[in-house]
Amino acid sequence: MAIFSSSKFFRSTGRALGWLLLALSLGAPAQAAKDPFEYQVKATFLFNFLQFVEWPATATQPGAPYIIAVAGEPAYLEAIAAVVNGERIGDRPILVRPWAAQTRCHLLFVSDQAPVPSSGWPQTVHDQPILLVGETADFCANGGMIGFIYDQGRVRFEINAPAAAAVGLKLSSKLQRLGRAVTTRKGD
Amino acid sequence: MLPPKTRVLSAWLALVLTGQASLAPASVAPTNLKRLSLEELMELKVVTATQTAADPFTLPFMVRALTAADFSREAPVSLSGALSEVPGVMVQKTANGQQSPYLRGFTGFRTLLLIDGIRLNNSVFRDGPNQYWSTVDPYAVAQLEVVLGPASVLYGSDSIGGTVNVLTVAPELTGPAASGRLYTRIASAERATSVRAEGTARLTDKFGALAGVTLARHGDLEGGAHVGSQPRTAYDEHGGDVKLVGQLQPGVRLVFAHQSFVQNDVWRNHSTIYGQAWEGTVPGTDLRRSLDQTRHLTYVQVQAKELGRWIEDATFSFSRQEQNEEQFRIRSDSRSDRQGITAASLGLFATLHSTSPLGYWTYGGSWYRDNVDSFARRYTAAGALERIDVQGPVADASTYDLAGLFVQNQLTAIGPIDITVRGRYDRAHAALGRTLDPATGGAAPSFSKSWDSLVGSVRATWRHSPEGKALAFAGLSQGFRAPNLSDLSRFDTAASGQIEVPAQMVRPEKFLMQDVGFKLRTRQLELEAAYFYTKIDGMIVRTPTGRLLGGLTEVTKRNSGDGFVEGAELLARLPLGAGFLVSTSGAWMHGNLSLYPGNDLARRIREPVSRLMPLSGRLALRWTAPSQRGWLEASAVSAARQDRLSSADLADRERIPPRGTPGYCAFTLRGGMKLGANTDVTLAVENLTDIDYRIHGSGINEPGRNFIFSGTVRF
Repeated sequence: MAIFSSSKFFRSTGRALGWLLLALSLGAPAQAAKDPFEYQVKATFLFNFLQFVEWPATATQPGAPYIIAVAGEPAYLEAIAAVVNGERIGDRPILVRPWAAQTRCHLLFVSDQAPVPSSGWPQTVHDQPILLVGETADFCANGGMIGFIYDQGRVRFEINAPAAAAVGLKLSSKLQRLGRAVTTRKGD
Repeated sequence: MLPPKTRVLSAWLALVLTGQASLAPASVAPTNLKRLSLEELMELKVVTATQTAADPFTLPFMVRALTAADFSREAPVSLSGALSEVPGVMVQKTANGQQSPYLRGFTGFRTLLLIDGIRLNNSVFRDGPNQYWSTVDPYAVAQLEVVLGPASVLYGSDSIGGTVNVLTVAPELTGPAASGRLYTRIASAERATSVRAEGTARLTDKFGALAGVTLARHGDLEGGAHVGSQPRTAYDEHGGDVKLVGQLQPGVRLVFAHQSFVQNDVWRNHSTIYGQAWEGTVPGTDLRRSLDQTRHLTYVQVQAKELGRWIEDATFSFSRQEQNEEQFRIRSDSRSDRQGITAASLGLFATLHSTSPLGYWTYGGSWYRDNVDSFARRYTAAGALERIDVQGPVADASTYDLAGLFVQNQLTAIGPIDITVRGRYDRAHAALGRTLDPATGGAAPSFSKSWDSLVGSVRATWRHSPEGKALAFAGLSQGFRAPNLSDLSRFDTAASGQIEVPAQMVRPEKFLMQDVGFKLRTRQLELEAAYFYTKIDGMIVRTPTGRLLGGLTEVTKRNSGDGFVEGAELLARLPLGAGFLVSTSGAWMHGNLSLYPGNDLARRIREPVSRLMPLSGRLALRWTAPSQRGWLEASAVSAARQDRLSSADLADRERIPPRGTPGYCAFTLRGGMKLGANTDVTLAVENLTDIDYRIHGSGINEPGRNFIFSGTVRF
């Protein structure tokens, strides 16, 4: 193309590539970040999950807030907070907290950046009526209850209904219909 | 099988073509996401650590997406006003209420506006700034997205400077059975109050309806400290819209929508004695020049997934859009005229995509037919009807067809480099009915003419890592604009002191854009930069015929404009921690066009492109409260003096100062917070120092110190 042969184009292209190299050198040490949209979408899934799970009466009090705990990336905490900010389920507000061992919560979301406890996440919340949601591979097969997966660029989820039932959580039929059924891998 | 990254980019482009999805679904605000059901969430395409790209950041174009959150924060007065902070965009204002964005140096019919995928552009759009974008209700927008640069291969004619897609609000099929939204915006310097009321009903899990009404009253615009009130800049506007969404069966959704918008009594005051001299501009002599305009859009769209073995999903759309405009002008000697246009457009499009062993295909077609009537009536100074012209601004009783077929496939080439190749064929056909013969003043013989265009594009994208942390892109894109009824038959005052006569011997304009750019996203920095060079070949520009008509310079359209526009855009965001974010953006443009500047046809010169955006920049510091319930922002926007003027700019003494439009730096403070669960408020002080300034090419000055309140209540 005649335009490509113009010196102006090559000069400009060279400048742009120079900027790129500079930017790459500046950004190289940084850790790759997830896309904000992924945080937002998954945060919205969590908001939806709350509406399709029934907790045992011992875990709920009328008017008391639903608590979502987040283990791992603070960005998830911010994204989830932005999604549930001001929202209520029935008469119950929703709070978001960073995860700590003593955190009481209804839903624990484990990001793939969260350090895995030596006993594994299912054991960490063992026997508590906490909906355990994660995004690492085989999260449900390893005892989690809902695990995000990807299918051609879309966020989908696996469901381990027996694991939820074991701690008294009832997953709605809609949730079970939309999720891909998985059970805990034997030996885990 | 192509990798998911390639497939989703293809799918994204397909969805954009149909308007059934956002140009950039990644930018949907959390507030909008909450409206989605689980099923709908599962259909969103996202950027993942290992998979696909649908976020604007990961796309090999300069794309900006403005969400409901951006609209809430910026509280723009109009749709075009929402674009004012997008680098590479200059929002020119011929009048208060008549805004015309320049995208990468082009405006009017060299930019394309889509509403839910349907073209707003029609065959009566004219050269230069126009007012048609003002017929889109800014408060019924769920999301607005801008793709800069030619995209004719995707969108067809007119997509040269850029394309804007507006996705309007829609009812949700989940959540409460009934809900509503009240929005208000009050601005002191604009003396404006806008209100929108919106209600949504979910009748069943498979059927929802939304209805909204917008009312706005704008007073005379208060300029800066020295300009003060700008008379005859007040106007009213109102609109209404309805959208019904039905889930007919799993995977099949039906959407019916109707939108109407009306603007009343919008004055081009710079052409009248009420215009104000500023920095050497000279007001016009008309006693009045005002415009009323309306737009009505009705459409039905069907979105279906998994149609048989080969078609992964498809969208079909049928629309009817009617645009009416009427100008009332009283000249200095009290003679007056009324002229106007009614353009009724039928539109069809279908977009499908399929997976095959040869890749992921997007293909489809579109057809639009405009039925156009126009009129012009001249009156004596005493108000008696003097004559009825053969035509109005364009040929009367005319039709215009624009049909296109496109196909797109994406190939993955070597290693991390994706190659995208696209092609499109379009045919335009104009049949002009009653056309004025400028030589006799009577009717010219009817005529028709057709044009074909075949365009393609190739684009290479290199990604630094599978996570999409950094990407660089380079592309070569052809663009075209088929001559329309305005090119062929406009007989109107086009620029100050000129009168245009019909031209029939024109061919499609051609453009070739080369661009390179890169994007980088780390925890410490988000950076986007691009350089573009758009070659202009045979632009249809007003060319003097060498005659005077009624004391005005007679001009006509010819493919006599050759030249280029080049520019660079930069956008950076730096999170500082503790809730602070610094963002900066800037744009630089330069361009020349060879044409005939005066009445001498032997004198063809190379001169600056008219109304080109000056060097511009924006710097902002925002703080967001840890609770996410409040934010504060301080920002500055600036532009350099634009004194590279074309001969048309120099002749446009009503709008452009003879020594160029002065540069400026305006400061703004904004803040917003949530009051309770359902109320958001935003307070802003724009143009804090009350300076006098105007956007290059505008007929009015920008507001002076402007206190703005906006609030949203959901129930």
